[in-house]
Amino acid sequence: MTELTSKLLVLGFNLMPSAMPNSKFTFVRKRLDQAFERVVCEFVGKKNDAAVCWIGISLTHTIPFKGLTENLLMEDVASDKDRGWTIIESKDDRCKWLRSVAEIAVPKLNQIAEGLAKTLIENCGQSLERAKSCIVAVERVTSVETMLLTLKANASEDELRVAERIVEWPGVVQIADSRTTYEVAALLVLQNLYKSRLPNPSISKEMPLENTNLMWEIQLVADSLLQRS
Amino acid sequence: MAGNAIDVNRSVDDIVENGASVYNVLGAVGGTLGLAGNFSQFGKAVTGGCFIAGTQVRLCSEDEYSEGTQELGEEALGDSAIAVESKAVASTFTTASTRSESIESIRLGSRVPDQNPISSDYDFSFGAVDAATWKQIDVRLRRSDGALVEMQLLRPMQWVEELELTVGGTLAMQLLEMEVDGLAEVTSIADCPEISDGRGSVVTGRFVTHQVSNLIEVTLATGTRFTGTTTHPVWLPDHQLWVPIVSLLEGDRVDTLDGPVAIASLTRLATIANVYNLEVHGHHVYRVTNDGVLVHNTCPVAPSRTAKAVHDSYLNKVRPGARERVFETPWSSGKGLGSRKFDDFDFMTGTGFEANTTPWSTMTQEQLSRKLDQVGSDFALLKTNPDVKRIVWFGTEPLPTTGLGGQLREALQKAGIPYWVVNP
Repeated sequence: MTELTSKLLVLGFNLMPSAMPNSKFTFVRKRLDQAFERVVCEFVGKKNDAAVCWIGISLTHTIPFKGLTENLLMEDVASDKDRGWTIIESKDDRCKWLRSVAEIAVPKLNQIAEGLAKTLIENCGQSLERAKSCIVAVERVTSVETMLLTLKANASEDELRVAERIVEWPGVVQIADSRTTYEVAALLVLQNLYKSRLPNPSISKEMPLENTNLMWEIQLVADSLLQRS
Repeated sequence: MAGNAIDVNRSVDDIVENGASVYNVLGAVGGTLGLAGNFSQFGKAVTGGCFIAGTQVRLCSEDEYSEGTQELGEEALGDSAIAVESKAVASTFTTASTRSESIESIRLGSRVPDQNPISSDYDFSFGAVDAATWKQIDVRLRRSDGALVEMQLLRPMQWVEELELTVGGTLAMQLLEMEVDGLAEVTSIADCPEISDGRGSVVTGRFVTHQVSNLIEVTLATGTRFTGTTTHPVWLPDHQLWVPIVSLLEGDRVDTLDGPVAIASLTRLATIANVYNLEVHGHHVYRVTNDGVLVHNTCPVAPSRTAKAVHDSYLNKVRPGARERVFETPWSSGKGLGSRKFDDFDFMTGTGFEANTTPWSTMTQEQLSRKLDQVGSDFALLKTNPDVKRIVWFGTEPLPTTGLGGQLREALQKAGIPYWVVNP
């Protein structure tokens, strides 16, 4: 990975921390618009012997989330065109494959990035705007813990209850050990929502994962907080 | 060895009378598991494929260090690399390059001379033995005939985690040749002991069966004697077959480190003794007595792998070349469930596959809970993960509409996950 990492670092990509540090490598680069470019290398199978690569665009830096992220499988670097992967049997195979990622995947990403980013920004425009206004409200606060205390002090019981329920739902917290960040994000989004229109009691009853805009806003705010921290 | 002699050839005659020669029967049965099952009728009472205490087992000398082999083993890039390892060590062993130790004293992690003559018998499905990532698991169970069987096994940590083994918990075991079929109690899970350097294959299992009665003493033309249970397979190079001790004939030649040696006599013993067996990584063979008689380890690679083997075999028929893909799910790790692992993932379509071979009629509440958690994780992945477009569960049996299977069916329906019945 060292050679690929060096090549991508020169191009402005950063290697992201991973929950699977031996098998999944995600490189992210900020674009001039609101999007991020991504190159993902993953080794799958019990022996991590099948290598797969994606390139993609995301409106989030740390959290790849459905609707906010669009990944394309890099079939061009796959030797098995049916499965989309390359079988790695030796160190040489691995080096060769990683070299092909640097040589083929990155130029391909440059070709598609503009169009993909534009589509994503258009699709999620409303959520992006609303998320921005949430973040502005607490921009000067330095820690999420302090932020949460402040928000809780000013939140209604209903907002606290709903926010807690949302965060507990499987699939909302996308990054391990970041519950506080998500509590802040959920409260910010809810308060913004309650401010902008009449309180919507249905939010407390519906499954949060079914409410795409709500989830996008929470993920965008959480992602922004994670970047700051 | 003291004991009352019983006409061993009488049992052989019985086989012949049943319509086939000894070796035809063996040939038709094929694998050693089948052998043990077929011949157990001739060695009833308390049985098991093993040797008595004091039986000498040849071990590789630790000073016979092979640098090339070690390097290849450390690569652990997959079956191909391990196969290379096996080729590399499959050179000739001699009595001079090995030493002996009593079977009951052999420690896990020792190395024994390998080279199983039947290459299809090789099993490297666990990958190379690595003390850093393997564990020692001690289990014991009482068979239906009352015999106590104690086992010490080396297994990858991942295997322990997959089976969710805990001390005091149970492990479903099916060792046909040892007539073991039931729940064993896990008595200890500890760090893997040191693995000996050098040539040969690693001892990954030790078995003690208490109070066994189906013993036969084999005397070779060299005067060497060993006593094993009726079901234990011995290699006959002239016939290129694994033959259980009960079916050996005087004059048959066994394989030793110094070449084939004839059997001088066979004596059935009326004694009762504790018997010992080993499991040998990859090749499943070891050599007994100072002559180094080649015997099979007879035990399947992994207790409870029977269910896993059925699952893997089925998966491979339905999705040839299937490779698991892991998704780290923070929402499940809090419950101690760890990640969500699909049996296969189609990267072209973003489809995760989950194969099921659990008979729904035998599914326990615990298994149902685990499957319901998987359904929950799958639902969340479908809603949130950009890579997961679709998830398909499939199995050999239709999901029932009632009972525990019915609950799973309902959960899958609610999550929008299809369940397919596939019988390849």
